[in-house]
Amino acid sequence: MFHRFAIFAVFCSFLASCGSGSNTLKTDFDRTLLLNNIAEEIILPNSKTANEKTQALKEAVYAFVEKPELGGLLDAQNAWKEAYLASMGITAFNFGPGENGLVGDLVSNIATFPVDEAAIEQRIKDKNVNFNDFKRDTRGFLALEYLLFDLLSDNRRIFEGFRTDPARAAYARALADHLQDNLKKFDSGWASYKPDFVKNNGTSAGSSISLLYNEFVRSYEAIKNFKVALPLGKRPGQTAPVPKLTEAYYSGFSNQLIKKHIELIEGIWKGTKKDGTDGTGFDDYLLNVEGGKALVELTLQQQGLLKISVDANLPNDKRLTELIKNEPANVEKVLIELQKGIRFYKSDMSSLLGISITYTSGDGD
Amino acid sequence: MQNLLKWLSKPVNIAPLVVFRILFGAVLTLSTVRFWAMGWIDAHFIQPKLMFKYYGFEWVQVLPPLGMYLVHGFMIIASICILIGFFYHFFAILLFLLFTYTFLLDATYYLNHYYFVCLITFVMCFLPANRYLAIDIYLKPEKLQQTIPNWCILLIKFQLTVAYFYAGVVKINYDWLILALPLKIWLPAQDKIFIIGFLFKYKFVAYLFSWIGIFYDLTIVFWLSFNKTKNWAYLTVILFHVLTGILFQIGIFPIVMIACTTIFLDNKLHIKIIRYLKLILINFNLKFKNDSKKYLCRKYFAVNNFIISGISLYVIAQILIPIRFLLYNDSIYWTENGYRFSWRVMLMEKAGTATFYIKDLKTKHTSIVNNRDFLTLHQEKQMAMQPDLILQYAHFLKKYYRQIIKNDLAIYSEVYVTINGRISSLYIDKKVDLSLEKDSFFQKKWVLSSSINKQSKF
Repeated sequence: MFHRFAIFAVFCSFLASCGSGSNTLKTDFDRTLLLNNIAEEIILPNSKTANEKTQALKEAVYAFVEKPELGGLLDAQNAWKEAYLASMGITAFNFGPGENGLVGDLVSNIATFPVDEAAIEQRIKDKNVNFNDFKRDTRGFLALEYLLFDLLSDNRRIFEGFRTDPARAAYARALADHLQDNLKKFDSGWASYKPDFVKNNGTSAGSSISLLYNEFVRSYEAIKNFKVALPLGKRPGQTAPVPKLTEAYYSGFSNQLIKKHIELIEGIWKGTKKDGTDGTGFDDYLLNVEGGKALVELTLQQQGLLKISVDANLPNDKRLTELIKNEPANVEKVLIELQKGIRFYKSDMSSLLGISITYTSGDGD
Repeated sequence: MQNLLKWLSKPVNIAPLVVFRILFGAVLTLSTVRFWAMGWIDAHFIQPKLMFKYYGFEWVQVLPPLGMYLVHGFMIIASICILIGFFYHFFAILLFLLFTYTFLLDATYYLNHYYFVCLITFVMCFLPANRYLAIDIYLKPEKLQQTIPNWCILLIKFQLTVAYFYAGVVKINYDWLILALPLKIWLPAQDKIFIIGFLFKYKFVAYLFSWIGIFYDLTIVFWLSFNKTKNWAYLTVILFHVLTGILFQIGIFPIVMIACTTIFLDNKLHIKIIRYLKLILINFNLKFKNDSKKYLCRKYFAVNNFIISGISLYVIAQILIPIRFLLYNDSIYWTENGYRFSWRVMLMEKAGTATFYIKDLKTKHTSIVNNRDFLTLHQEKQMAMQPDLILQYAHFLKKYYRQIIKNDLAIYSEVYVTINGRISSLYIDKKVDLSLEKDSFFQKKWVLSSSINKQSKF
């Protein structure tokens, strides 16, 4: 009996060693570590910051509309920038507490663009501050941006507008309340959801890694399709750049937002901790599976190329609206780099990790 | 030849076929009810904005939502009627037609086991499975039959043999045998499975499973065919399918196979099962008359020229269809020429990323398609790695955007495909306007060769 076992063991170790690129006998990666790190070091701290900054935004908006003067407006604008930038830190987590149910997910409720100016003005006129509907382009950060920023930085026009129309002030307050509600709910939701998130450590449809992965890819694609291609006029049916379709059109703050968004995506992939050091992310997971090393190298290389392109072509001191008008070819370079990276995330990574892409399990073969 | 005819028409006990009918009806009832309960009628047939078609079946169109629910409702009724043997032939034909209809609606949902069910329901239309322990016999006792010609059982056994054997044959390739791929990818992802999960971290387990899997597929019918081994073999059938059922998201497939394979079991066991079922029915006061009388095999079911040519045609088709890939150049895993209908079950980890570009031929402006505007996640995943679906999607895009853009359009693609975890490589010729290409049974010239991108060593 022992002999048989010995032969079997030798046979197995022979098989295990033959043909495999790496020398390990084992693919050992604890997804719990990854999930815990992403939750502990990225989602929770980012959510806390976003919540705090939105609280500050709410206070600034309340203070400003109470006394519509230049100083208060500048404070509110500043608070808006900080809060919206902070919200980029949670823009890839439309699952769990990020799924709001009936009126859609978190991101579409707080960050839909472009906003519908006419509809916003109509709602102000009607004193309609009920946000429980599908008109997501009349609420969220970017609706508030429309109220707080003038395209030509004519701040006087803005605070005069608030001075003369109390309904405008009420709408701005309601928008700030709505944002604060959403981010608070997300933040407290995550505090209770986190243990389940970490515990659900399989790879099938509905597992945390599958939810995280799906939203990660969707969010990356959103940068490409909506934040860059859309204003650049690269969506089917468009024939030329449309500046108005830019994220943060009125404040001209788009480039910083895109960079922050990319930073989040790459942070999830690398598992970057809140102090900036490297933690357990998808890269570590990949390094632990057969064939993952090559993909990690290629992905890192592409991330480097993307950074170079973004830094060169989307400078912070220029508005994206101007760039797409004056130098569209340069912005398109960013689009190309974003496109080049997509396959590494979308097919190669899920394939190597054996993550289920579809939300529901099928009767698969 | 005479011996063959004799063998095919030899009267055998009807019991295995009756048990098969009951189990198959039960499994399909369960499967369809589950499909409905999971909300898949909506997700598969109502939500999608477009559906992908099989070559030659483009005319099969989806019904309005109510129609789709009715189709599934009738499928459940038909399955139950097959189970109880009520108007058996009518409902077998109905089930075959309805099931095949839903099967043909969207090629992204192609599954070998759906195809298997299509084939089995087709075969069952011709079998006298309602001649015993069926409502039909309760109503017309004179139709009762205790024996049937051998071919009725053999045809089902043949179908199972084809499925298993080819599933094994196609695994004889470098990746499966030498690299233990794709199991080396799939198994570690299952390391959280109850009790045995930790085993899947070890690479030798992937090798073990690959080799055992191939041995199982190639030889299981052999073991099932001998009296000495068949009971043990059936136990491994259960074990094998339960295990794969736990490991992979393959839904109802294991149960279908466990149910169908009972046809190989010993007649005595089937007779016992039937006797037991009859006892239950007697408790419900359903007595089957004429049970003691022995009925001989009727002429109608004996082998005649018509039956023999039908069977031959079916058998030849089933043997040839899975190996039609030999007519094509290049790796079947890469091009997928002849991949469907060939029992290539859980054979490779393939995925793609497909981006489509629309070029306005008048303004020369190029734009990018967001696939999520049109496709479900499942459809996008399937489309991105199968040339015929990529082509269909390109044609759809042209038709759709033609209405918006008005100018003449060209559709270009950038598709990267990975097989078994290799770094993805370019799949479709980027310079080809896909909207000008037509699908056919010929090799698709715009699919780049696999040899230049080292995707597949098969």
